[in-house]
Amino acid sequence: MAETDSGASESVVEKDAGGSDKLVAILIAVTTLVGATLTWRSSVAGDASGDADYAGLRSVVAAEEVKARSAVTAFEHYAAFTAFDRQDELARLMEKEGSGDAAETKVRAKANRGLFEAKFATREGEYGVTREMSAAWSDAAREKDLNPEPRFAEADKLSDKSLGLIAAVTLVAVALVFFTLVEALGAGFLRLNIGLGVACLVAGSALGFYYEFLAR
Amino acid sequence: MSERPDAFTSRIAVSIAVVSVLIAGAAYLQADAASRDDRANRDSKRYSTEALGRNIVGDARTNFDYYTAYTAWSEMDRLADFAESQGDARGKSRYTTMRDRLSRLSPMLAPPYLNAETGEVDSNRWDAERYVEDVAILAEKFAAASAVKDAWDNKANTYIVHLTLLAAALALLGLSTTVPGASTRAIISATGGLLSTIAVAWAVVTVATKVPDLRDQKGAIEAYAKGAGFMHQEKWQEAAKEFDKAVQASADYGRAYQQRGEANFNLGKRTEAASDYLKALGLGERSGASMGMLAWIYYEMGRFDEAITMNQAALDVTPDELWVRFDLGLAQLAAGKKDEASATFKAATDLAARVVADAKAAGQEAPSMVWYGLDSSVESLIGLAEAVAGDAETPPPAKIVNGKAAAELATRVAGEISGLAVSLEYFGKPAQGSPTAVIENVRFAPLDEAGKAGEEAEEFDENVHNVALRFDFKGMKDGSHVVFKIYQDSQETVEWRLVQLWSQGVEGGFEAALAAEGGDFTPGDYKIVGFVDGHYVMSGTFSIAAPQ
Repeated sequence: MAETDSGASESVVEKDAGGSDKLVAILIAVTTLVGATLTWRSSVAGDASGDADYAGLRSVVAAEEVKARSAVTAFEHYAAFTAFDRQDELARLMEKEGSGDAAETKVRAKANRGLFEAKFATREGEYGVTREMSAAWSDAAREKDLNPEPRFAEADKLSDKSLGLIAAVTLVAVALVFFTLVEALGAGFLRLNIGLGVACLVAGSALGFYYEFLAR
Repeated sequence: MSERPDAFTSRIAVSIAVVSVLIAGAAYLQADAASRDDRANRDSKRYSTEALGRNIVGDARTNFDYYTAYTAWSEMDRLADFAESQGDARGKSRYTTMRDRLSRLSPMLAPPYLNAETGEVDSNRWDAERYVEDVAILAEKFAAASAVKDAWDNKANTYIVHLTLLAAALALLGLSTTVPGASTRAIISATGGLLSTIAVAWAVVTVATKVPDLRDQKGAIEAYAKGAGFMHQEKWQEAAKEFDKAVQASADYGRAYQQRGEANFNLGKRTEAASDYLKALGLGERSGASMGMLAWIYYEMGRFDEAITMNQAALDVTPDELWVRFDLGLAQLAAGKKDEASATFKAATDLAARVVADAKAAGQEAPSMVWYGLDSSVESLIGLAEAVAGDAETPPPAKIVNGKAAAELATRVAGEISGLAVSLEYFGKPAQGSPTAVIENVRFAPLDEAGKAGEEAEEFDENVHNVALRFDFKGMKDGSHVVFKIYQDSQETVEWRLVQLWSQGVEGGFEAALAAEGGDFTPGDYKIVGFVDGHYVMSGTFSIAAPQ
């Protein structure tokens, strides 16, 4: 009987061991799949972050180009307006005095008339150089993205997401270690290793879920 | 749990597990460092682009303010004065009205930028306040972000080395379970353990290494930018104070020390300037210009050996910097190393000739550094000769070794270099052969408005606006290319330069008015230097006194 009992007991242990082997194998497979998924999502987020960064830098270049071009053009127009206004006002004063040079001065003024945007000139003899630059900015903004901030904010968010997902992968990797230790440390630590492994797997998965779906 | 592994295998399994965790951790650190590297890189690109844009916009604005608004205002102001001087009251009123109307064009045409008494504007202050400080802030942020980027890039790359070591350790630990023989297994597993330990220790050091960011040092960049603004206005004292604030905010701010060195140098504080430049060099600001500047300060202090060493260090960084090469020769000459100095001057003039020839071959203008290098070296060599003669304070005459010989060589080399500058400018290559022309007895005579010459002298009163150059010559050839350069207070005015093909025979006396009819010379010290076919042949000086 004793032999029979002993054989039955070994059989139970083997059966239990066979069950935990299967469980550990399944957990390792699940952990590997979760880790691979998190790594993939991290890579996608990192790639998107790089794209957003690039788009932001393109906006910076475009914005500076528009500012530089519009400033150069607007101040050229302002210079032409100044020449016009000076000659025009001088001609007016000369006319008032009855000076013979008034007509010639008037011609000089007219020579500059077509060299600036009349819509930005005022009757008071002022020129809206800032308005001209703003108009150029508005025109360009219809064709190009001139505001880099949203792009950079998006890039930062995606970069944080990518990093958070890598942290999740690290936790999942630790889970894998505990499942591996089940084999190495034997039955004595079976439950502890499986428990810690599952805890890490759950924590890693939760962290991954948070960064993938919830983090703002 | 069908088979219980042996103790060795268990230990290795645990080790592999631990190394795996370490790899995961190192991977996280690497990703974090790479992410910070990317952000700093993006910031640096953004700052540099914005600085460029800000500069262009600022230039466009300033060009309008100065060349359009102020020029127009000034024209009306002068016309009003002229009308008044002619007794034209209506004209004065008209132009004054116009001038006042133009004042609204730009804030530059009002105090504190416009001096109503003199009618002059402080355009440097205008530039500084309008955009120089802003551009300096962006440029400093660019430099700071670039430094942060480099630091994180370095960290990220170091973590990759750690990952590689850990991967190798992992492979060795795995291998140790498959090889036969206990001792072999022990050696392989111990090597794996050692690699892991090294990687972990190294990673700890890397994590603990801080990445300083100048942008986080409150007030440092802002003070630096204000200092840059004062430097632009040549307000050295105010600039030095701002750089003081910058280095107080960030003790490792190399560029602030460098700039304070320049401010102190301009204030004549050579000891402080040298100390600042040394500090900047120690903090990594090892540009050829900085080292060349420090070498020059040492030279002016009479510390010739240190000047030589520093010039050589500068040339290691920027071997084609002509002015540094000439300064090296100058320091060698002052230190009594005549042969070395001659060799250095020869190498420098060869370099200048090569740069000009290369530019010509490429169909381009020679870079301005050639002319700057040649002109400044002539000035420095003459300065050395003057110091030996007791006519200049720097370098200290007592420290010049074998002063008489040094002065002779300096004068001769100065003539050769000034001749080289002319021959390179007009012919694109050094002059050939030796000069045959001899010019002697150089004199000057004042010319009145009708072109009538007065009594020869070297000093003239304030009413003299034109001067005749006279000299005796022999050995001249008709058709030779003759150039007379005219310097006022050490600065050449190129529009005054006299250039002609010689047609006055071999021997005789020469006379020519130096300025155009009527003359436009103003008070100052004048120097005339003559060249024939690219050879230096004469020089002479006169001065026009300032009004009492």
